[in-house]
Amino acid sequence: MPEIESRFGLLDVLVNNAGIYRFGKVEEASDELLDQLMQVNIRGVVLGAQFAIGHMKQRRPDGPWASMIHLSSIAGLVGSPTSSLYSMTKGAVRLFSKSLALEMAQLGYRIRSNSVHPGIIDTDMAGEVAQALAAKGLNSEQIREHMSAGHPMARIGQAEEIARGIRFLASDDSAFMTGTELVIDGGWTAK
Amino acid sequence: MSFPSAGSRLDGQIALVTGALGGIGAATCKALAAGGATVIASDAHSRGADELLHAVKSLGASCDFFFTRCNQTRGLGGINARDRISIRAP
Repeated sequence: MPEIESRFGLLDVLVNNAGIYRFGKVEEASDELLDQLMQVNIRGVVLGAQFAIGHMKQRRPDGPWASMIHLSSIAGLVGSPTSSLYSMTKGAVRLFSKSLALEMAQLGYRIRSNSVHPGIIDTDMAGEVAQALAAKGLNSEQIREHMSAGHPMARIGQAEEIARGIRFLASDDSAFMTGTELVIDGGWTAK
Repeated sequence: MSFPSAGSRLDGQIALVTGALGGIGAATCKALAAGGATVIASDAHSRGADELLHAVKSLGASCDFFFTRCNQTRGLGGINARDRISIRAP
């Protein structure tokens, strides 16, 4: 911790983004699957925040607040029949972010905390979502169709579209936002 | 898709991005760098770190970019940006 400060000074922004997607039926889920998801998606997020608080809490009383952005998912807002355990972890991230926002404010720390909820995004993780659909017996055409059609805007999202939202939450353009969600999902959760 | 330097500004801000080598992580590093932030990127592995470096450099934004390998499930205490792979972009 002292090392990061001596090189960079105080941290202003944490993008708590590291996460994994895993699918599978609950009745068949192994201990390993459960542990992996909880380790990365929950423990990793908590430890990331813990680390950042130490680097963020001493801020100038007249300057902008620090900002933490935690990556949740549409799976942290609505249920999914193929990835209950993943959804559990993303729901946890959502309420961790909200509670942390309240805790930081109550402690007098000038640290904002918000969560971001992407739909299916054109990344390697979308490939894993496709695998989950293939395991349900869908062919590749049906998978493409299904992943796009879940979004009322009839396409999956691009990573840059999520990054723009994160940049907004990181900056002082979102100065009065804390404990809330930024949903970037092409309308998925509006249904 | 690109990140104009116009938009939300992060000049002089220091940002830490975990999972920086995934799709959203890498795009976030670029977006924050384009906004003028010093970006410390971390991931549990370093596959694709060079590509991310080049991508950030090619933005031409004035920023500092660092990569550090760190497994977040063991906390971020190990982060020290020792593996600096970029300095100020032109």
